[in-house]
Amino acid sequence: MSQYVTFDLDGTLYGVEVSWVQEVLRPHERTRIPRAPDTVAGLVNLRGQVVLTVDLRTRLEMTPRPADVEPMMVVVQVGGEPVSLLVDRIGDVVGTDDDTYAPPPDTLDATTRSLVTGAHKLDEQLLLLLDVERAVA
Amino acid sequence: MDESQEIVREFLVESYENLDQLDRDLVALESEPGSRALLSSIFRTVHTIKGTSGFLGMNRLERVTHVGESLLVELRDGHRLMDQATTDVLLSLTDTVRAILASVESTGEEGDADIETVIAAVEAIQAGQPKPDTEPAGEPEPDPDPAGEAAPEVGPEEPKAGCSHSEVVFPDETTQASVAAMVDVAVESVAKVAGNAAPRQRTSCRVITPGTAKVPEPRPASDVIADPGAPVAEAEPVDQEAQAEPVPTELAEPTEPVAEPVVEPAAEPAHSEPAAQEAPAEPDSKPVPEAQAEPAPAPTQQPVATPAAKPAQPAARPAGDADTSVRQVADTTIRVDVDVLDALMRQVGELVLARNQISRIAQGSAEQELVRAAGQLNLIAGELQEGVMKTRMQPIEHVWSKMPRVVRDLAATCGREVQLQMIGKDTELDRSLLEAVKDPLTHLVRNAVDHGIETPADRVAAGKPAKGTLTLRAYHAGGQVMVEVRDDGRGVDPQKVAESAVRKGLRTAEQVEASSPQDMLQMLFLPGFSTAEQVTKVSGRGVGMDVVKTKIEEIGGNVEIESVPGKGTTCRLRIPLTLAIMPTLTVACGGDVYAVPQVNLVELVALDAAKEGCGIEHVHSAPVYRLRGELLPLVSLAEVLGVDAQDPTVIAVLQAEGRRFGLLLDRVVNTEEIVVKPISARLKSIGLYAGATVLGDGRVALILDVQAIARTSLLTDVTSADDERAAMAEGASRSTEQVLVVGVGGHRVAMPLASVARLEHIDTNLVEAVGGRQVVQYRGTILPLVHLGSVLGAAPEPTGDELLIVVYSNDHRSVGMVVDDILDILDDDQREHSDVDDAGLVGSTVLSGVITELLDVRAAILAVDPSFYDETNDGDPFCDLVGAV
Repeated sequence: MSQYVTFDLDGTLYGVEVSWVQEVLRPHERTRIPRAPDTVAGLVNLRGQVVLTVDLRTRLEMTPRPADVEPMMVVVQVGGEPVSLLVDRIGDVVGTDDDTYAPPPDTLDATTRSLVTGAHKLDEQLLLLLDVERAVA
Repeated sequence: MDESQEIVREFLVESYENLDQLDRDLVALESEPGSRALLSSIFRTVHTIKGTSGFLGMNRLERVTHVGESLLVELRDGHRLMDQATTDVLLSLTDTVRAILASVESTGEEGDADIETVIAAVEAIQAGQPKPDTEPAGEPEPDPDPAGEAAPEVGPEEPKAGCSHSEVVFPDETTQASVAAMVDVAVESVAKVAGNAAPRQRTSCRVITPGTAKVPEPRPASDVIADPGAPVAEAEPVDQEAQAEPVPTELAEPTEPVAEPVVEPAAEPAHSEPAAQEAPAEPDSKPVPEAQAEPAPAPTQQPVATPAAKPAQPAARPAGDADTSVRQVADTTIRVDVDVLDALMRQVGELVLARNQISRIAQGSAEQELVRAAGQLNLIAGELQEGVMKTRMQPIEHVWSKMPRVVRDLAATCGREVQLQMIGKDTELDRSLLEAVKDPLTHLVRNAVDHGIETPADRVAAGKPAKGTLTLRAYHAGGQVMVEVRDDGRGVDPQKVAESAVRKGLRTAEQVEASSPQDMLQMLFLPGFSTAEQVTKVSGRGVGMDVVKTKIEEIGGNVEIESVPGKGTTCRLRIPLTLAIMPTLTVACGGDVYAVPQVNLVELVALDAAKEGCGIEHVHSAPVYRLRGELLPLVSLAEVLGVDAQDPTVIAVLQAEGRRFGLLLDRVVNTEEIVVKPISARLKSIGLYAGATVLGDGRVALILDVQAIARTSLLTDVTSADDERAAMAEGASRSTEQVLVVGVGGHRVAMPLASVARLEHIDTNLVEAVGGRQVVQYRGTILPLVHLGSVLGAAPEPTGDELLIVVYSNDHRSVGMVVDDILDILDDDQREHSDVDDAGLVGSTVLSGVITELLDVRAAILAVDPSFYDETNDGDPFCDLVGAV
């Protein structure tokens, strides 16, 4: 029985185990970092702390987020440092049972596959489990 | 268990501090062998460690310090004089103690550090040198007292120690050593036999001055480890016992300052020491009883004891007084864990940021209350920040204190004579920075002694005093701390450095060819560089200059090196005052704000939009700016960052990597004190950013890593602007000089810039005539004028209302040369000179592609002031003119 914070990325449901997640926030103003890798979406001021932001759309090599979608920030703690993940829409916290677990579907492309540790077959849709450490690396 | 660990930790902290002090004192003592204050301080330290180590059951440590203590006793009592060998042994003793402490710290055990060698060495010293005092020899034979730990050591160890110190051990002296050992033995046994202490002391003590304080009860054995022993071995009651005491209060309490003749001399030594304790605690108590206690062989040692007692008396009081002040300091200071301070500092940093935000909101607000409250907050936060920063500031002396020892040891190893000067010990900087500069500074000092300062013979041959001077200087400048390490040694030859760099494949011959001497010196900082021709014990430890540089840059500082071959070398570290808060210049580029550390900022230059290309020129494709006659390579921040930007309006002249360059910026926003936030290694590896910060408006701004930008952007520049640099470098080394190019009657005439004092416009009406010469009154003197047009035989140009004159000065004499135009200041390469000349000229040359005549300045000046170049300045050059006024 694990609990996941779920969020939507271009119509696909992803989940991060709750223990990683520090908080979920409305977007903050981001400072861009010239010459940084594309996946880095800038720095935000999180109550005085400077936090790196990773856009999961870019990270998962998806199409850029439409301008009218305001991204949400999922702040996770990785290696003692907070990192903010940009997602399209925040979902529920979902509890899953082991029997719904499945290995990552073969249909995923290579990049996504490398960042997804598995999937849970929920009633209405599939929940892809994000490998947080890899995603922010 | 925790509690005892806590005690051990305290002991370690205290002991490390004490050992540092010990190093300092020992080295100081060498130059001031008679100083009682120093000896007492040393003795106190060793004794304290010994006492506590015994209490904590660290037997090896106790033994080492015990041996050292007994040697110190002799020194302090004047039975022995301080010399080099003794200092060496004592220093190695502190090293051994340090090693044991380090082992205790890391493993909790004393470890197996070699203590026998140092014990043997100490004993050899004690044995190997006759005491200055004529002590009747042949005193009691070594007592095979089983209680004495020292005694068994003496026999077997001696021969070895004697050999290693190349000192012959004479039987007599052996006896003396044994006597010394005996004393110790007596001490030990007394300590062990706590209950029997009194009877033992009775026989072994001889009281010279009757005491005045009450006698405390003999304490239980567990307490009496070091304690009663000391007064026995030791004539003089010493106040450090108090510190060594595990139970000082217990002791102090029964002691009362009330004068009361003591009937029983036997108790004297035991009580005298609590009395000493008492003295500092209660300054108005009566003078400490001066108890001169002697061990068993008292009758024979008496001749020594009496003279020793005398100096002891005056010494005892100052020592007591000093202790009073120490106590008082101890009462008003507390030890705080650095982590606590760090956390406090961080929080204050956040507070400063929050204050910045509130101030900003308040600025735009009409609400008077808010404005007032914000102002108040501003004030308090500022004071708080300052206060917290102060708690973390420590004088640089903390790091320097190790240097005398380093220099001394090293000088001895390398056969140098070095005098260490330390200026600005009190200069304070942040604790964490202090820690960070320790190793680089030590390295620089070692370098200076090992490579910089020559051997005495070489120095004398070079006409310098045999003793080299190493100067450490620290001072505040421009919100930074400057720390200089300067030697007056042989200096560094840039050419050699360059050759070495080429040989090691760190630079190509072409690159070197194009480098200025300053650039060549910077090559010292290249990783993998070491000029030492042979790897000595000192150099070749893997800490190169590159590590120095890296470490200093890590803390936001930088390193410069200057050297004059034959005269010496100066290394200058620029260190920010504190790590946490950094004064920066905030600049805008491509719509974003970046912070530039002010450490690197030299000046700001506004670009003149009216000029073509804003005054930016290009050498090949590299942009340069002419700044006061020097070409400044430019780096566009927008290009470095790869962002779209407007036309730059400002150049920030930055200093990094030993060179200056201009950073082209959109505009300058402000100067701001920022709190540096670390950024992830991934962002650091981009090589542009040193960190990030939160600005007053809550936005995050990146801090530019000026060093890294200089490295990446200027290296490419070096090659593209090679010709330019080469020309400049050549210029510096060959015979070029700057010349002022003026227009005279349609000619371009050049004159050396060096002696041009000023350029002036002077109203034609002010020109007066004196005896056929034209003069003007200029700054209170009379300035003779020479019309270059007429000197050069050119048609005199019609002059307007104003004369343009070039004022030439030599000492106090000046001559004004009237010219038509000031055209330029250029570098003149004398190799290009041709002999084509004419009256009033020394030749001609090509400057900036135009033929320019070289003015014979001398002739021109002599024409109006024949005595201008006279060395002897007896006669007033203008006496004839002055007479005319």
